[in-house]
Amino acid sequence: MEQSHNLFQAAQLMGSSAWQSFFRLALPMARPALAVGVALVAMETVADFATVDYFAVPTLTTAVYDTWLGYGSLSAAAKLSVLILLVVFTMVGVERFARRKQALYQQGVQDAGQFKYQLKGWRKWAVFSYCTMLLATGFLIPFLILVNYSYHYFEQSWHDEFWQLSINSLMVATIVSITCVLLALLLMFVKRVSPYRQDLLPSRLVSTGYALPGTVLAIGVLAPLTYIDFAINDIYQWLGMKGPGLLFTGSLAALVIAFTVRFAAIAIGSIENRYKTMSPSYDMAAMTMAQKPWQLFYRIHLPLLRKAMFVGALLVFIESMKELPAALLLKPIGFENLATYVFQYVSDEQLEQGALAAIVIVLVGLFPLIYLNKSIEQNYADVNH
Amino acid sequence: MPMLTINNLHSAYQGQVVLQGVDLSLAEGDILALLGPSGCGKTTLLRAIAGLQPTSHGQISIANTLCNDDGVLVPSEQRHVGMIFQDYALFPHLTVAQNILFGVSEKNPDLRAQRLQEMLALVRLQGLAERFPHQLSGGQQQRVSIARALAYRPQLLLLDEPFSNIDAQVRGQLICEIRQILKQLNISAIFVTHSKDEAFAFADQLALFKAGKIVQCGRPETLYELPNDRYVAEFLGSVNYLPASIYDNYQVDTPIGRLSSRTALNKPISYAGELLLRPQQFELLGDDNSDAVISERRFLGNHCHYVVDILQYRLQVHSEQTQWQLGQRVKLQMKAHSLVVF
Repeated sequence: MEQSHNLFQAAQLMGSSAWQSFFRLALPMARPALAVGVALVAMETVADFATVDYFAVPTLTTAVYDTWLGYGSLSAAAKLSVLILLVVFTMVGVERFARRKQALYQQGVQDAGQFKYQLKGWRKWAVFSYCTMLLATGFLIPFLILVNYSYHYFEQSWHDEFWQLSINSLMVATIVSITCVLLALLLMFVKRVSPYRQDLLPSRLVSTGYALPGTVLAIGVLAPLTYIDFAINDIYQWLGMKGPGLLFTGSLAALVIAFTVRFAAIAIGSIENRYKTMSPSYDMAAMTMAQKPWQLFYRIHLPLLRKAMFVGALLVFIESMKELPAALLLKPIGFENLATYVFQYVSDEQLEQGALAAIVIVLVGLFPLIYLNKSIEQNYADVNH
Repeated sequence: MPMLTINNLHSAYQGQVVLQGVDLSLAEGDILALLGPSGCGKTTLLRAIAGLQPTSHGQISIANTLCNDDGVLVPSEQRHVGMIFQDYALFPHLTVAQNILFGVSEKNPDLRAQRLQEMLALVRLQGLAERFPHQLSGGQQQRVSIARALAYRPQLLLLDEPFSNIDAQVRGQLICEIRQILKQLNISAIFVTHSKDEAFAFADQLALFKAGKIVQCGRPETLYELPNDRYVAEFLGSVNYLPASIYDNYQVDTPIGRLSSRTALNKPISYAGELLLRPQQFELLGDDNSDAVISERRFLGNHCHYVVDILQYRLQVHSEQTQWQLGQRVKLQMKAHSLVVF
């Protein structure tokens, strides 16, 4: 959350110490942002599958998974999913509410530059160690353990199947990111040029997909696709021909559809933000110069959206590499990707052998993130220069 | 032949009525300023003319082609109007040359190059063709946007607050320059502004807006000297009012004496109302026996702003005579001009 440094300077001039500024200014102003954070963490926790499964904590998500894969009951799984949805929607409500407040609190932030207190002595070291500890326990130590495992078990992990797994992951992630970006372009262009309010609805609807936990989403995708698959086969039978089998649920289509529903919001967000910075007068200028809507899109929007499309695709790509519960529930028989492969070894208490695959997932996500952070900083510098 | 005719135009925007019965006509080659406070509907009218804003009722004709009517809506891209925006709307991914040629449908590369050179020369930006918009100053960007609109050869040019983002120091010069270009090419233009100074400097005709309606339209001098009502008078300059009753066709009685108008008065004999007097229409003469006294004085460089108390009235006076001090008794005299009574 951005807080105007003028406020802190004003407080300091009125004799407020660093602690006082924190408790009287920074913390109260950050309240809505904290509420947003808490709601998001709660949502992710409710939706989490892999961690609770590994530690054998029975939760709603593992129950959905077991009900479908263990007992084969789609309807019971669907009922459990609705329960999760209820929790998620409550959290989304809390988050939206807090965000509205946040907008209020941030009114009048013109210069969100940084205001720094220079710490000295033990305080400096205390803050430094706390931040380092977060980074170490959250990322560095687990990652080093993984590196250690994969070094010792490299022979067992590095086999032909590993290539196939990586290619599977990359392929699904690539298809999904392209689909998401194309979908986002279409929805956002319609939103931009349409004078009708009801045309905002599809993009709003699609954006809610990100709030759905993978498990719930998988069941939600599975139910209608199973129905369609059966219907297609019934029609073939009625015509006296042999059915094509499970067209959707038996192929990657289900996986791609579910991932697209879940991650389209990311691509939409990226493209929507770029559109927001584009002056509406560009469109009006083009239209008064005899440009048809498709020319407006091709000659103006597309070149200006290029970077946002790339960033959106990259983010969707990273998420698709990582997504586990939807992949587990929807993968065709015999299909494995890096995420499901790691999960399988972890479940079998053979973490060491899955370590290499886990590292690949982390690295594939890490390098683009570094690039993204750089480009965000770059944009920030561009805007502020 | 009028380039633009608007009849009884109505428009609503998000449930709010923005235009309520606008009538307007613009002769070919004329520059018209739509002047008014922000939110009065002037930009909406401009967009309606460009076909960027739906209208609910009334007609717009451009060059004798009906563009808006009940059941008629010619889309923007077929209206042949050029538009200049407050933020210039230069496409950031295109060079100056690409921006200028954006709307040019000519395919022949030689003719395209020729058109580009003409336009660059017109707005005096030769040598900057390969620059990108962010490498130009505000004034240069505005000139590129003029060149882009003119390269498209519009029948009518619409300008939406074109000078509001230009530094005050160069604004006056840019206004003259662009006015010259439009006159040179005999382009009809409509220009939206909330600044009366820009309107006076740029336009041949002035239409003053109030809450979705045009209250008065005509030559700037006419609106300034013979305003229809107080709103027009006050929008275009500082005012004083004195109670007045009409004595005959040319004379009016006021607390400071009987005053004569250069032209016939606008109200019937024995009508009692208020007389409009602009601060610079007074002359001050030192007179120790006068009952008018200077109670405020502000030196403003080329003139002085005085407040003169006379009887129970306070009058604002602008005078080039800067020598009068506070407490000085003065005699008020009127310069000869047309008097207006409300």
